[in-house]
Amino acid sequence: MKIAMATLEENMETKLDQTFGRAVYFLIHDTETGENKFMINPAKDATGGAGIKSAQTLVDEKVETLIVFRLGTNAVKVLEGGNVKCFRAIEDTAEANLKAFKEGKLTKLEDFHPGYHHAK
Amino acid sequence: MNIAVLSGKGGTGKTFISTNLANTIPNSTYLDCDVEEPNGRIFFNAKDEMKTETVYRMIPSIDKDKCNGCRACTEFCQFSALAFFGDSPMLFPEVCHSCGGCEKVCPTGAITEVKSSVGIVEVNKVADLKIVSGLLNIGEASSIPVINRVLSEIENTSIIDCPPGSACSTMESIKKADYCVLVTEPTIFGLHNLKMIVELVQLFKIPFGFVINKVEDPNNTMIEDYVKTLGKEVLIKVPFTKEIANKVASGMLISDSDSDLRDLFKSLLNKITEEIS
Repeated sequence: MKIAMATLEENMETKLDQTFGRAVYFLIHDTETGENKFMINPAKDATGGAGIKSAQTLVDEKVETLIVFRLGTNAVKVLEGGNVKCFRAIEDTAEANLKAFKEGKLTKLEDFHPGYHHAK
Repeated sequence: MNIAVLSGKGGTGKTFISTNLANTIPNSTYLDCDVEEPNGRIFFNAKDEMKTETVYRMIPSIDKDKCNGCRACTEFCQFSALAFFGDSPMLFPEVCHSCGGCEKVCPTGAITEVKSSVGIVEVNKVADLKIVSGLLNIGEASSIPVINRVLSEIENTSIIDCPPGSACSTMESIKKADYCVLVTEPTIFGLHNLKMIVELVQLFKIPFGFVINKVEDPNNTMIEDYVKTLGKEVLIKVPFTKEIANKVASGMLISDSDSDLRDLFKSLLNKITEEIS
């Protein structure tokens, strides 16, 4: 299974980005191989629809779980469409978040902000 | 002749100036481009709607059976209004800018553009005045299609009441203007935002002049001082009085009851006409 997080730096001691759509990096951890892959978020400087584009990137990477602080409703629609499960991040490193998730200590993310496009 | 009235800062009196200006010009057209909050029509007491029309924009409609999953559309969209999961794209209409590009790049004809309602336009007639109001649907992100529809009603001498600010909707509202009236109030905020719209109208190369509204203190010359640095003079100054405030709050046109102010608004039109002829 692939687990994703929005991070500020390209290492496991990094804190997670408070935002999703405009996050600089995504960490994708593969639980089967133990590999940690960092990628620059292609939507970080997008003119619009950054949340949608970021979510699309993770769906295309076949991510199944996302650990994140907050999400907009448009990103959620894409993530749900791609069957990505979302969990609330804790104020700690990427490594600590991963550990907490594996120990079943993270809660599901269920409240979403309405985004920045005056969505109905 | 089309005269746009804009201000940068909200609440300086764009609608006050535009409605009274239109009221003193025979056979004129008043166009309310402040489509998020059109209130100019209240002052004309326009009860009978002459014409109401829905305004549409185009958004893509996707035929999933025809989609081959190539993603040309999602890759083309600069605003990520289309996402792809499962076996076909999904549209986020509020992010879509209605450019029509996705339809053009689709190799299988799975995308067609369809109409989506964004608001209405109302055209009223009161005596010899034509009153046009755009009204954007609540929650709609872009006011541009409604503003364009309002501007298509331009006729005779037209007064265009612009939205506040200096962003896209204001730029759209002044694109057919022959002259821009910049309304400000003698405050630091008024001056700050006035400078922003001066930059805007200079960029559009449209002749412009200044109206100072809500003038109380004759010693406060901050706006005049700035206007002088541009080698210009203020067109008119409108006083800030309780009587005017009362009339405006009651939805009345001050130029109907106050002959001095009526003459002041007439002089505004004369000065503009002189300047651009």
